[in-house]
Amino acid sequence: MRRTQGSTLRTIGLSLLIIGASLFALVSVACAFSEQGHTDDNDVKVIKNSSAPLFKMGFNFSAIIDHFQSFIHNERNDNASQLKDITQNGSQSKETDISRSFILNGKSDNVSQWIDVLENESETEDNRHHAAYMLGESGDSRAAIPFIKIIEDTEEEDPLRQSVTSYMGKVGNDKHTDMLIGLLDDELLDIPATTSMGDLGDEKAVGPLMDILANESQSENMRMAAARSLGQIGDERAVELLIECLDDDSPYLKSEVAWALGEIGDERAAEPLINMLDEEYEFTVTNSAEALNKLGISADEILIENLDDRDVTVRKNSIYALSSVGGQNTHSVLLEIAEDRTEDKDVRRAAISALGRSEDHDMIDPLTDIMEDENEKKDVRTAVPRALLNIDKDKAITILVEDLSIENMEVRASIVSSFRKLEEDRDKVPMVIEPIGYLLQNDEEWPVRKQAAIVLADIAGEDASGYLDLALNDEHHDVRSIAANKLVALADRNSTYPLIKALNNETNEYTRRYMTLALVQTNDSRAVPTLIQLMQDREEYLNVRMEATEGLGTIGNRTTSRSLMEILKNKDDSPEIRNTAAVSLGQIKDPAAIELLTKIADDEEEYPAIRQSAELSLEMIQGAKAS
Amino acid sequence: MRKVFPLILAGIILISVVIWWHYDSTVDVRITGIDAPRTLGVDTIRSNNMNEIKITIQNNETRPVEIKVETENAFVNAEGESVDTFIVFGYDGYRYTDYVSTQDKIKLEPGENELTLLLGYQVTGEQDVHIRIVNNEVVLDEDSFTVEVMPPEISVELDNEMIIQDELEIYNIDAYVLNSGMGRAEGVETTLSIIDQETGEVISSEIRSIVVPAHSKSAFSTWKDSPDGVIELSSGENSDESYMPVLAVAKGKTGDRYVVKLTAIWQDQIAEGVILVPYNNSEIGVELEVEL
Repeated sequence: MRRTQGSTLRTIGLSLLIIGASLFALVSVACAFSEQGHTDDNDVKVIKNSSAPLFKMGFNFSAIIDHFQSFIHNERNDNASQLKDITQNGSQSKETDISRSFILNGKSDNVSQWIDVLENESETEDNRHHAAYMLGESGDSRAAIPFIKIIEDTEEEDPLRQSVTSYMGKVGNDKHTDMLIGLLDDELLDIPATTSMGDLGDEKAVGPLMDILANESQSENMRMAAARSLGQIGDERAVELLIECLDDDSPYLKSEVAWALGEIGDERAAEPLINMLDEEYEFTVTNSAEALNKLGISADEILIENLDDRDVTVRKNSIYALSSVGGQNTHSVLLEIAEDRTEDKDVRRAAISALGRSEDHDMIDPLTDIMEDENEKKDVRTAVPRALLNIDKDKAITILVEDLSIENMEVRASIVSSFRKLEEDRDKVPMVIEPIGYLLQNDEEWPVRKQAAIVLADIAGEDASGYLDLALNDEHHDVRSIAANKLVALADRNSTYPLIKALNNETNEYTRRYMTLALVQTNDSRAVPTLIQLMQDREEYLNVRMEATEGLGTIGNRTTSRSLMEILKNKDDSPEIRNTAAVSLGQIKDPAAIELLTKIADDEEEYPAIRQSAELSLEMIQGAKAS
Repeated sequence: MRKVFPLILAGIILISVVIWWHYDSTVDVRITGIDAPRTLGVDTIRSNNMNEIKITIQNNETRPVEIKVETENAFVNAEGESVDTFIVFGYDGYRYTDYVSTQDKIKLEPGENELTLLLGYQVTGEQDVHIRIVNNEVVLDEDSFTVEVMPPEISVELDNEMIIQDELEIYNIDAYVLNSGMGRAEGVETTLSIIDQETGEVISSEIRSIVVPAHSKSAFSTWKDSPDGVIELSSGENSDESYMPVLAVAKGKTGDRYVVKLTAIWQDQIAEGVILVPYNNSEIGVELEVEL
């Protein structure tokens, strides 16, 4: 139908063209016009050639054609930007090359290479973002020009332009201040530009930043960024305005303003900052206390007074602030709160955490007493293990391992959970593996066993696999599921039989999938019969069958090919499973599969994806055969 | 007038050129092959690449050519209407990473080009798929093929396991809907009921709408660590345990018996299974009714 319409219209066009050209030729004999220059282009070559005799006769309408041509080109170029180029014989290659990021880290001139990545539009978005980040962190001025190009290029992805704008202050200099000021009206880039001006530190930006901060119709985020940048620049002109903003309704803005006032260090801010110490928002109080500290004023006394406030939030915030700025003399006050059974449990937990951060060894015994006291609230007791580990890991481990026999289940679980902190201090890990492993096998409460499985796998790695193998038969599903999940990365040959046994009993889809993946991870040929059975079982979960079929490609051998070929042959079976079988046959590289793979690859009624997999597998087998 | 007339003529020529250029079908682009499966399962486009077809297009021009791929019945929605589909350029093994709509233009390089197009059907039955390669509203070439869209085939499975806690016998019921067909079963209305065998009264039941992928099975409940139903029998007092999140719960005395019934309905397919609890943990019958 469209072909007919197109042909008719084409005929009309052609007729008009002939008539028009004939009339024009006659008239142009009597007319004389000056020639105009024009540019040439392949797309309109046919049109220009047809008018060539007329030029000789004195008429040149190339200017009109050029205008027409430019219209066409504009239209087509606009379209072109939206078009997807496809390469010959297939789709374009846009592979992510994250690994390159790591390679570049080791090169001597990283900056120029990161610039290459940033400027290369065929790079993935992630790589270009990472390059922008690395350039920003480098602080190298060579990044400024590429950054500006991206900021100015509206065709670039918005997130990349935003990132680059926010890093501009780290690589730019005073010459770039005006450009950043110009971006304050850009809805997309205004906040990153505001942030960037703080990094740039040019006093020229103070006026525009103060305008933003003073303007209550600006967004909260924009005003917060302006306050922080004013603090970074450190210009005293902003002090009065910042003090006024301490009365703003936004707690988040007030928190940033308090920080900025601390950075500027002007004494006029002292009184207003003291008034902020009973605010509701935790960071406003902490930032105000820290700002006062920078002004040389201790906030300890006022914060300790606030510990008697009726409001729980004020008391908690005062503890957080004391934890940040308080001296040694405040520890006894915090301990009093931690021990005070009439105090709110959250306030007591905050005090225990603060004492942990104090790293004061004198606090170990009293905190241990709290944890071991069966009459204490469990919510208070469970805050202690982590605090003890913050103070002194060695001493804490000794105490905590002994206390794994504490009757309260939540306290035991919190002790186990706190050992995760040893991830940052791996040489201490062997001290806790056995006690946690014992709990994993013997604790009566499944939440403790679950925590034990999680922590053991996270801190002990491969040393945990034996314990996790045993946990595969735990009576509680959550414990089995965690053990299987962790074994996906940790299983070895010793895990093979425990996994096979567990698969016989497990019913949960996700846990079965983890177990299958872990079985593949063992890389043990003894796992092959079970994987084949899982693959062949049509009543098995599809995901489990898929993992088993894929796994056979990884750990299978030529004896496995027959089963894979049976699956691939069977058109009644799931195409996903058959496709995976085709891929696995390629990985095993058994020449016996060539005939079947060839047949599948040539079968026009087969799924294209399966045909493609068969072709790739054939190439792999033939390549292996040839070598 | 002498000056204006040539300009009018020039305008006519230019309009003619536009029409000629726009509807120029001398562009030599041909479909040289379509590689498509003959059967597919009913499904929308999912994150596997089994719904793909490959179209090989020969561009015999010496320059790139912009085209649109128009389709009929490549994607058919639940109302049976043909809608636009996607041309894909990137698949990372898990998801499509780069694709455009068939409403978008694409550029063919000179020579052989291979396009990957996605099919998707929310209705079963035979579908005649028509592919047209269009350049500036002119159809350059077209081709057709037929796909049989297969339904799911659902059945159900019930199982139970007894654990003893003090004077309680707790029967944990596991319920599954199986799909042995090629099609994906969306929105399977599944009901698990616990019925007093003696009175026939439904003690408790739960209804869920579940999805069963092709050639797979789905548990009745999505809760990872939970049975699908619970029957608690006691020789003394029953417990206060609510067994949440399980909703199909019955509490009775030792010696009581319950019929556990699982019904799954997908379009015109009804599958039903029944077990008696307690009854030696064996099924007393699973029936599949397919009304086509």
